[in-house]
Amino acid sequence: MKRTGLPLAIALILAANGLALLGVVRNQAGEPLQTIELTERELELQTGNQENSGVSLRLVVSRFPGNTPHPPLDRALLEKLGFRFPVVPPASGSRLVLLPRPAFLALECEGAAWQQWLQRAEEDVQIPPGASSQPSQEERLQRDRETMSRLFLIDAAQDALELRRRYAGQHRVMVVRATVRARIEDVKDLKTGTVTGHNVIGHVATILPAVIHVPLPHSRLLAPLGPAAAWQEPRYTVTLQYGHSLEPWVSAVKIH
Amino acid sequence: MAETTGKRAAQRRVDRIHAFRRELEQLSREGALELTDEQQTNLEAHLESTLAGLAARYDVDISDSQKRISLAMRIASTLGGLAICAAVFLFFYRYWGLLHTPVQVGILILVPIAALIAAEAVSRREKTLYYTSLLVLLALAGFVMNLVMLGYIFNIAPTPAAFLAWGALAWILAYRFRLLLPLAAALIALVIYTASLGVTFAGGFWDASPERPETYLPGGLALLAVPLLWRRSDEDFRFIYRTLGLLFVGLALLVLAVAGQLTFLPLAGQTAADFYQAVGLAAAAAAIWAGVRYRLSECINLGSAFFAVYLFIRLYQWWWDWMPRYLFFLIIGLIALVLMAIFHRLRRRTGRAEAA
Repeated sequence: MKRTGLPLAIALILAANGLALLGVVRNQAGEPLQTIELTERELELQTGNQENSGVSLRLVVSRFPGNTPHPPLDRALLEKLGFRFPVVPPASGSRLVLLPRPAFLALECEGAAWQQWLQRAEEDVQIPPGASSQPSQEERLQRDRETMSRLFLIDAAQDALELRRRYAGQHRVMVVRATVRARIEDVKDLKTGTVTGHNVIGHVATILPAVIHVPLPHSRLLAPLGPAAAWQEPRYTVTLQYGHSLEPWVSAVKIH
Repeated sequence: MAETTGKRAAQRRVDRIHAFRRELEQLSREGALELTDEQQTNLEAHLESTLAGLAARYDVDISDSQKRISLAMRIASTLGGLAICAAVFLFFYRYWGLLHTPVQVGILILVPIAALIAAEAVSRREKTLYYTSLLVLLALAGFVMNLVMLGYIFNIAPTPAAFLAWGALAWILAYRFRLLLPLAAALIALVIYTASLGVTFAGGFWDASPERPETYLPGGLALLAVPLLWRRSDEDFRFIYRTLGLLFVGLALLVLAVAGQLTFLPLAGQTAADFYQAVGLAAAAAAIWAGVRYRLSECINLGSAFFAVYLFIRLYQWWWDWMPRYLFFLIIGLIALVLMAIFHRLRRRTGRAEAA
């Protein structure tokens, strides 16, 4: 090891970097698998500070009110993702810990799910005339309409190809890598508090990557903008491209 | 951190020589052993030349004050290494946004390689390896930063292969410079890698290995097997393998003994916890037995600590809810006295075995 140690160590560093960069080249080679334009509503700006000069964007996925994503990651879909639930649910109070599983998600921007969300939100605002909270709720709805992320989870699968085939030609749908978690919850009778059944609930644990790095020269346009104020209208549009390994990169930035 | 295994062996010999001299003086005062003047002169000359040879070759400490200063230097070299690593990382983080991607990638690759070349060059000029160990630490931290930031720059999905690469580099550097801290880092990274493979094999996402502690058992057991299979390796290195192996196995069993629902086994949570409490107690007892049998203090110490914890968990689950608190702690105290008696007997037996 005395003679070979240094060459071996350097070779290891170069090989690890070579493999990583080869993966990047393969991901970005040829036509990108998907190209999508998103605004600040879906890509939240994370500018650097004095200690960090990097600029990145965080993918924001909206959810329907309550605990239900759209569509619900229910038992059937979770089983398709590989989750196996016990035939006999765990005893009340005991916890079943299921491993998070890798999955591919279909995220739709400004599509049917967004329309459905708006419709539901508008129905919720239908408060009897004279109620004092009506103006602020309407105002909030208007702001959500203008600033909220229109990106919604619409489907999930174990195989990216299957998902891409399912949504082929739909330019507002992007397929991303993610990890999904599932848990079993007791369903209790509201009056007696007794357990009447069990619900299987799934949720997206992480989108991979949820934070997208913005390189130069694009970061020069975004860095001066600084953090967004509350309810601010979108200040930029970003073109995201996803390659063969479903790793994204920023290909264009347009300031409004 | 800076002491190499060769130096540590030399230092142990110096310590033995000092102890031998003190014992010789004592025996002489007690009249148990009288050396002739000639024998005394020859012995002193031999010991002095041995000490001088060891000092010249390994720069060992031949006095207590030198030893204390060396300890301070080791602490300073480790803390200095960590501080320089933090400085390099924060410097890069502060300015990387101003650099184009090829420059960022170039810097990330060059930092660990430059630190490695510097470590190699410095190691040829110093015997103590204080500066070398600092540079090795910098190279390892630089390589961690290299792969983490590369993943961030190109939005690469995280992969456990990074732990394999970090572990491999740390292992190479540990054996190249005979350093213990890089070896410990290497073994930890490699066990995390094997655990992540276990979780992936079970269909989970690789970073969920802490949610299935059983995935750490193969790696931990493999570490315990290395000193048995590779008997010619340095004793200090074998100590690191054994200690980390015991820690990984012991902690995995301990977590399962408390949170049985994290098991892969098709058992209900409490049944699995009971099972792993029994396995943990047996494993701790086996570690103590192996420690006594093969005179391995780390096995006795860690085995005893795990044995006491398992026993406490078991007793807590049996008695805490229904027993008055004073009685619970009284029983724990009495059990501790019984354990002390058992360990006392073990200690005597170890002493006799060592004397034989």
